[in-house]
Amino acid sequence: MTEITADVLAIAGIYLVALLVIGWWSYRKTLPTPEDFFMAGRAFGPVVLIFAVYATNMTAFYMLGTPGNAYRQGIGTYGYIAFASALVIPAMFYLIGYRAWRVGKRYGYMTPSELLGARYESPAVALVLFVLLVFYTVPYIVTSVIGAGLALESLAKIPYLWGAVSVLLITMLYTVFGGMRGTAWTSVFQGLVFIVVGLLAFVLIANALGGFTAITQRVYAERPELLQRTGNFDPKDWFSFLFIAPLAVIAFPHVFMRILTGRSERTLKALTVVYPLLFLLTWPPVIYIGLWGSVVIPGLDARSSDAILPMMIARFLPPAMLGLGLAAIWAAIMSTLDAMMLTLSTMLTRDLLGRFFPGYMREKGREVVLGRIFIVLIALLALVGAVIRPGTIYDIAKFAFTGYSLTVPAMLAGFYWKRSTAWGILASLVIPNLLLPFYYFTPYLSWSTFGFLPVVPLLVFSLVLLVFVSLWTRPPSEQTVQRFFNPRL
Amino acid sequence: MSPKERIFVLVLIVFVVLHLDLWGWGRIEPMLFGWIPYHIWYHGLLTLSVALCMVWLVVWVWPKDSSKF
Repeated sequence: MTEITADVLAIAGIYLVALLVIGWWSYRKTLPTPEDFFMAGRAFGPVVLIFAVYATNMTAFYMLGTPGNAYRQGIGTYGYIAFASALVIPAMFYLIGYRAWRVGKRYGYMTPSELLGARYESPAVALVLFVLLVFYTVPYIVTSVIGAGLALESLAKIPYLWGAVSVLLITMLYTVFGGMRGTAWTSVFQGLVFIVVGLLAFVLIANALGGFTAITQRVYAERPELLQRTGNFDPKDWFSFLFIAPLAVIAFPHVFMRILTGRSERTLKALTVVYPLLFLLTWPPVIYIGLWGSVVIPGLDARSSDAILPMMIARFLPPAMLGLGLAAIWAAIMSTLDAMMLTLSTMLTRDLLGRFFPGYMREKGREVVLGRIFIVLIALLALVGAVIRPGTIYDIAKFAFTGYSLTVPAMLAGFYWKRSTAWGILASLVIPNLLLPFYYFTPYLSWSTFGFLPVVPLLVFSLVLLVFVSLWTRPPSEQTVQRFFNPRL
Repeated sequence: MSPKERIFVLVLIVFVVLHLDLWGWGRIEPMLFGWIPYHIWYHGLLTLSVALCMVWLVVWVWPKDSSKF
């Protein structure tokens, strides 16, 4: 083992041990009840909630996919992804998140399926939403594990699978023991790590390359096309993307559930105001590193360019920074991975077993035990996906995000349209999701996009179905509707 | 949706139009400090504006009476 590899592993090892310590502390604080294990008693204040949500939102897509995209498509990556997110996500925190938080607090809902199933008095709505969210969360988990393996390979020259297994194992341990409290407090730590290290890498890499002006002017001289959007982005694609990642975030069950853990309205308000500023602080640095990489390490193919950020750290920063760089990348990845694993576990426990075997699940302590077992099983499934490695991080994420976005009309209807019905919701969920693979894997429906991304015609179709079918079917009882529109706390 | 929320949604639509900025699609200059091209400083200012918009949201749009939306 080289000296550099030993340094990298030592610092990364310290980071992983810190996570285990936080996980153990959380375990000691967590009661073995579903409300405390899955929701930490809904007691998070502003700082924990902001970091829990933001760090959960940031993943391999942020630390690897985004600089990779900047490497290939240039500076417009900021507007395309970061600004679109900074605008739409906090808006959705208010328009959907606040309402979900209120009914969640009032009636004890934990998952989107529980909530929407109750809103429409429909086990079918709950089950369909559960299936869709699980289906789209699994590939998203796989992107995280792939990213973890790539990072270790780039920074320490250790085979990809070692990184994947290490990250999965540690994440699984602190999630199994610490539950929501563990995943949220590790998110605070992880958020600080990747924000600080990202900013440090930005400054130090620029310094190693002659300064911000020198290296950016070099990009201007050699690859000027990357400093603007013509030829790199299409306006219709640009507009469409607002409805993929940014809109999808509120539908991510792991983000949705975290919003429900807020202690008060003040907590949610703080989240809404601070969120755009976090994008402005943390995204330009990684985008610039990818951009600079285009002239410093040219010629990478699409899949390899996903690793441009760790490559740049490995090439230009002192050995100590390599370990911090790996820790930062893993922090961004693990802060989402733990949330998704816990969320899937919660959904399998409550939405599946709780619905079909209520008597069995009523036994004291059983829900938490099974929740912990599911976390382990999900980790094993993720490992299989990481070994297969079906595509680039960016491509996998785009497919999953479109699927999540297609659940948003149902959520909006649930909180804003009293006349919406269970059949309308089912139509809006099922039919567009059945069409989604045709858009991504066949040419048969490309005529209907008119140059936009598939999410646009699919969302329009989803809304049309929701309205049309609702108007022809019976809404839930007035009493249920009032529970959701006036949940007194 | 309350009238204030409708105004908020209209403001979001204005931001979407500004975000499209077809008029600046191919621009690089002016480049601030020699390393911040048009796209970054324009969208950076927009991001700050969004944050201010969210302050306006929590102060003016967010329901005062927590029993109603």
